[in-house]
Amino acid sequence: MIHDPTLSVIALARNTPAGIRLLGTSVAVAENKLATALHVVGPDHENLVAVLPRHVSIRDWQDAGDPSAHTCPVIVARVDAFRDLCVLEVPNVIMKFAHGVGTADDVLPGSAVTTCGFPHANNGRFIQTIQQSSVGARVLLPNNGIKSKHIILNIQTQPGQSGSPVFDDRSGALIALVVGSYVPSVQAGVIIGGIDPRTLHQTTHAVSAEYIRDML
Amino acid sequence: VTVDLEEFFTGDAASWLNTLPSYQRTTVDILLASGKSYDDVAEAWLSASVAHETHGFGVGESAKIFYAKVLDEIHDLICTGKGYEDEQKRVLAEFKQGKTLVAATVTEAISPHVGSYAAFLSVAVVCALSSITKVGKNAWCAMQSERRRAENQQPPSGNLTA
Repeated sequence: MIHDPTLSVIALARNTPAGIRLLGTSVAVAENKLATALHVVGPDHENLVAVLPRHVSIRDWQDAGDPSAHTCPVIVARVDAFRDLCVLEVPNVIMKFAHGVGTADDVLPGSAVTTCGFPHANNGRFIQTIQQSSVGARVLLPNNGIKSKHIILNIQTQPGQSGSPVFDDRSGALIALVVGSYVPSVQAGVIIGGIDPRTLHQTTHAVSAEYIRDML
Repeated sequence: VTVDLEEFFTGDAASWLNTLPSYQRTTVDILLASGKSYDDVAEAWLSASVAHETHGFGVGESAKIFYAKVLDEIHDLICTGKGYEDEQKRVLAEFKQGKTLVAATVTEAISPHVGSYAAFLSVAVVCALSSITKVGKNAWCAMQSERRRAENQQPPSGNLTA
């Protein structure tokens, strides 16, 4: 079992006139910095906030009926559009965490890893959830001509989990960030209940954390 | 007062890239080495999102920033000064202090007009500044004026019904 990630894995949201709208997951990578997938934030940085955990430990009972949310503003400080990554600053907040920022080079296919995030955030669900899986493959994925190291996780992911950290179970290091799941690019799909059925499989893509290290 | 920045957009066009942090500079260099132009790289940066054959699991709908809009704003700032009179004077004053400050000022100035933020736009702006230097400021301004004129003359898309 890895260290408790509760205080280092933070939900991101946008303040709206109707209240906060959850966007995805982020992870602490420095005392006052969070990393997430760029597509979670997008090109609009207005009203971005980090949603502080309501629980003290992942072992606590999280109250799914509690609508309260304590937030603090975040600022997008660094962007790598080709790796789908961004680093956010959290002014006036000091985060303590145990993990180092490593690289997906350190995990071979078959290695055990743990992810932590906020699945079903598209439905407003704010439940920090740990998932354990293994590395299925190591792949280079192109994005507009730039190839990046990704690992494929043998697990299904849901909206809200983009930006979730992937920890190496052996070292506890942050080795990748969830960015989505495989989807064929050949044909248009249909969306049912906010879900593209072509993404309902256990082929999750996570980009190597080494690119985050370069952004700090 | 007319501000002429022509003399500042001379020399090595690629020197603007030195204003980028190394993690951005590295990928821009790869794309330029593959034969893409500065404008191609800027377009690629702004249109990059999730990786190939990847479905992102963020929740929000992501707006798209069009490079033409970025060019429009830089054209107004560098060439016409329209709406950017104060920023143009700042750019003129800052050129002596180096390209990093100029690139940051231009990016900060146009960000709210484009509807984005500096960290997201910086690569596209730096590529545009490189492109200006490559062809010369006056030639670039004339090209952009012509592009905007042509775009404004295009009929609106969509079907008209009686």
